[in-house]
Amino acid sequence: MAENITNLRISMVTSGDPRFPAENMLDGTTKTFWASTGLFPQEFIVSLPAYYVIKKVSIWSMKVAGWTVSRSTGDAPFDFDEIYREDIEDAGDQSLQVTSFSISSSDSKREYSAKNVKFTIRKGHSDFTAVHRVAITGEIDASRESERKNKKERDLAADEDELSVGRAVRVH
Amino acid sequence: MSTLSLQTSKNVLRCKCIVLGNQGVGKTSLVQVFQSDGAQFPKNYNMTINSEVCVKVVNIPDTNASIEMFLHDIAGHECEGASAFVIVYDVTNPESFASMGRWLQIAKRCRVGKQIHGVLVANKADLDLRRSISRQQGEEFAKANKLAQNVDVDAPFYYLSNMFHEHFEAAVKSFSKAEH
Ligand SMILES: Nc1nc2c(ncn2[C@@H]2O[C@H](COP(=O)(O)OP(=O)(O)O)[C@@H](O)[C@H]2O)c(=O)[nH]1
Ligand SMILES: [Mg+2]
Repeated sequence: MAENITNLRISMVTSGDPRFPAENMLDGTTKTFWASTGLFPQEFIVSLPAYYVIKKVSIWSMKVAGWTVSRSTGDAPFDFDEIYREDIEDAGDQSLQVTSFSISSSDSKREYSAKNVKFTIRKGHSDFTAVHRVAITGEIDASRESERKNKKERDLAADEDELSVGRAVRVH
Repeated sequence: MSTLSLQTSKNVLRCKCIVLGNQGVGKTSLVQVFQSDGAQFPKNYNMTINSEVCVKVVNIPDTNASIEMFLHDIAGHECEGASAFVIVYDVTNPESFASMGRWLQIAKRCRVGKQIHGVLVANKADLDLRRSISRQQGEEFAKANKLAQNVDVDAPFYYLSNMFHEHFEAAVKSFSKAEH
């Protein structure tokens, strides 16, 4: 079942004024915002709390002239592939631009789960742009998640083995 | 993993500024003088990206803001995405003054959005005896084209930094007033 993913986290952002932190994009409201502080492109990476098959992405912004969104299906935030690229019209000085898209059926990796999504503002309608909110819906990848948990348990168990060996050596 | 750029309480704004004008009017000298006047800033912060782009940091007094001015000393190309410009002419060279209109056109083509701030610089004013473009001619051109005019060597860049900062403050004000 697709759900609105909560506990999103910003793991990278290319600029920012401490008064308008990037986390403002993830607080669930359009009342707060992150502002870019000059030059393009500008980027930020949103990390998901678990592996999700992404279904839909929504962005509320101002003065953005071009979005590129990409996701990384690996464990680390590298090797991103593009899932959306569009030029965006200006909505004026008072209104938010609302950009929403579903993963294309022609996307060869649409069944893959991802943990990191990168947002690139390629250009602006002004020197400065703002993003008020980002929302991502997806389906949790249960098999990859349990695999990850199992691996974690195996690693812990291996650590314990090593510890007991260590103790045994010390006793003798 | 990349770290957040929000670790400091500094607000760093970045401004691409193009320096335009005929060959020999003194663009490179102007940028160099501005860049090496580092009394307020650590020298090593003024890096040269390549021979035509350098960065200079300007602190805005009484705020936590500083502007990284990316100065492009170029012949008019690669000016896409510029937020500010400086047009230079040589007061001893009428041809360089006659070219102002053309440089202004180029500057306007390169701007991001509607806002772009420009300064006109009348250079080589020290060569008084060979002066052929009067101060008044310069002032009239600046006024007619809504440019600020400066005769001091590094004032244009400080002026543009301040304008950029004001522009940012106006932008975030409008971002916070957006309709939901
Ligand atoms: N007298 C005088 N000479 C200058 C001034 N600025 C630059 N020059 C000289 O003008 C020449 C061309 O300067 P440069 O900065 O290379 O010009 P650019 O081609 O526009 O980059 C050099 O010989 C400089 O030393 C100035 O303010 N006064
Ligand atoms: Mg030069």
